[in-house]
Amino acid sequence: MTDAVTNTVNHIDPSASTTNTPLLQTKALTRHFKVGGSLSRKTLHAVDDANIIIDRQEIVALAGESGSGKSTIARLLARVYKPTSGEIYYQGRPLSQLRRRRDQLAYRSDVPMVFQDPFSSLNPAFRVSHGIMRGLKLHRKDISRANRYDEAERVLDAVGLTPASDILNRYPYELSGGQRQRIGFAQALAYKPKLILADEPVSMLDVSIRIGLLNVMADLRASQGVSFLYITHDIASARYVADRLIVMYAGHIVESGPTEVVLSNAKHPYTRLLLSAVPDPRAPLAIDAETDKGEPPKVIDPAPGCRFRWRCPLVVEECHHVTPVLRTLGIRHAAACHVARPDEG
Amino acid sequence: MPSAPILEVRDLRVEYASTRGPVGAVDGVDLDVHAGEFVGVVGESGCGKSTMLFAIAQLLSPPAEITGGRVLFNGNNLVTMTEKKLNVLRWRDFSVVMQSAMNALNPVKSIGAQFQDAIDAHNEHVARERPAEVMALVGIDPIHLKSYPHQLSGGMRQRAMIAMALLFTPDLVIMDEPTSALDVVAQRSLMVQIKQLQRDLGFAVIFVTHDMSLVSHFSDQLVVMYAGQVVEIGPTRQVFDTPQHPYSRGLLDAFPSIVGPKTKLTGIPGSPPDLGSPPAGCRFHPRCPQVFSDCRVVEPDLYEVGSAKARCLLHTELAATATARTAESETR
Repeated sequence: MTDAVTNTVNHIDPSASTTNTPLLQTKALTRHFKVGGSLSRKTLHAVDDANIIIDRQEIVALAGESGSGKSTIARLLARVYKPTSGEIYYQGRPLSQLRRRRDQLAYRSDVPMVFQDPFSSLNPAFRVSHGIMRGLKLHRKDISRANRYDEAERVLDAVGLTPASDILNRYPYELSGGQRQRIGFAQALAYKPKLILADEPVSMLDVSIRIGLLNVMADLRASQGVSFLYITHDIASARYVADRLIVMYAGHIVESGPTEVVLSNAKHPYTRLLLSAVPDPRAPLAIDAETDKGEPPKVIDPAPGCRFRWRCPLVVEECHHVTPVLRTLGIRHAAACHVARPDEG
Repeated sequence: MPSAPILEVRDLRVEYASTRGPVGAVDGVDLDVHAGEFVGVVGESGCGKSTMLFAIAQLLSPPAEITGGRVLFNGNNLVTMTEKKLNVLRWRDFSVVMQSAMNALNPVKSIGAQFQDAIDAHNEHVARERPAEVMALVGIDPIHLKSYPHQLSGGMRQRAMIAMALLFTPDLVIMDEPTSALDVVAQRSLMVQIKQLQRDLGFAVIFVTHDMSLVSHFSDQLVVMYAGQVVEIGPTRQVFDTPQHPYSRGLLDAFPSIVGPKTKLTGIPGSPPDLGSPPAGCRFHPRCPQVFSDCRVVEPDLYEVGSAKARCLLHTELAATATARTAESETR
């Protein structure tokens, strides 16, 4: 566990404006899905025991392959799914105790989501202004009806869409993929959020415009004080924007730490595999480097043991029987691996 | 590299009919592919790279139409060939792997039955073991010939598509972003596999992608397309090390690296032009960081720069005179 976990338990205080309470924290967050027919008793372990901390104005990247459970975490945080067990604390308050509708709405406006596919996440029948103005109407009671339009222009400016008044009157089909995804961010921004859950926001876009959106995220963090949970399978882009990196494999968090530390000193063999897969013309390559043909397992009714053991080059006997837990192996750096060794000294 | 190319594309032009008049999606593309060569084609969405592939494979349907040029494949011009003759060549001599394997496979037929379809269509004598053989080639257990597409993961479906493309050991395999639906690890292992197969079986590959970094270690020749034209073409390593067109340089600087110092990147500002009315002069000039006055007027040709070619006026004497002029008046 990172040392941050041990010194932050202050969730009794509901005012929670204290600075040492993380913005959002999960404890042993778990989500299982029932699979198979109605008589089936199989459960798919999408996320098991995830402990995540996101601080104010922090960009945290959550990386992993398809099926690793990263999107499930985003949906749990967005309250699309209810956790099977475990708890999410927002500014120190457990989410399961948000009973009043007003509190629930407040949480949703504080923690909006940006979706992967900008081509299907905008309603094609409405102008761009529609989505943004609706968000303002629902979640921003502080803005009078007369001022809503100005606010909508402001958020479009903030994500780099100019001239804002022109864009507001357009339909989604009149915009490029990159512009649409900026609209996604603008809609989230209209809520005056504290944390934006960005689920693979750039993976559908051309490489040449991805960087623009990553820059938008960095700018919003600086100018609006928003935190981001950036979900991606592209480690290079995580390195570009994120302060901290969490790597998931088959429902488990396998490594976490400051991005640069994790990348320069990856402890978990899976993190190393991800790193070696990044296509980078600036990095040297041996084409005949052994290819990994594995895929993340579907974690149905798992027995104890490391879930990476079938693909792992370093597997030892222990891996087959004991599920590794996150151990601190360096400064703020933790990995769940029996073989990984702590930093020297 | 063997001497005669197996595919010679000369001055290929494709137009889409639209209410505002014809839109030139591919504008005078020349391309040679030699036997056993891996050619990467990169560019942003809407630059005409997929249209070019479809034109080469003669798969275009209205409103798109080939309005000029030749596609010589093993000496035969595919453009003027009848559909009947094309059907003989297709899949036997050249095959196509489509972008999303998710949708390219028939969901209600087993993989094996779809292989059989291709075999039946050609009345070709194929050994009974051939489907199992090609499945093994791409690293899937032949037991999956009995599986239906939904029982396979995305990576396996894409591999199965490639296996199908190799049924008749074609001379040329055309691939349209075959890895774009996969995540990095699967993408990487698929690329390595394609490269190994290509080395072992000796077919040529045209590989289209918007991710320049993906082909960096795999292709022999790299073609950079912009607004329907080839803007740079040359040996892959050379284009990566010394890009001669500002657009290639922009594409290269558009993605972050996992090595080296962290620097702020800008990508390429703006978006590709409307091909219905492309900008005058160089088509890249509205987005070009190194634009000078002649770029707005003079349409550049492909100029030889070392063993590469670049469609940029910086490689003509116009650039020298322009720099001299700007040096007098202002600094860019």
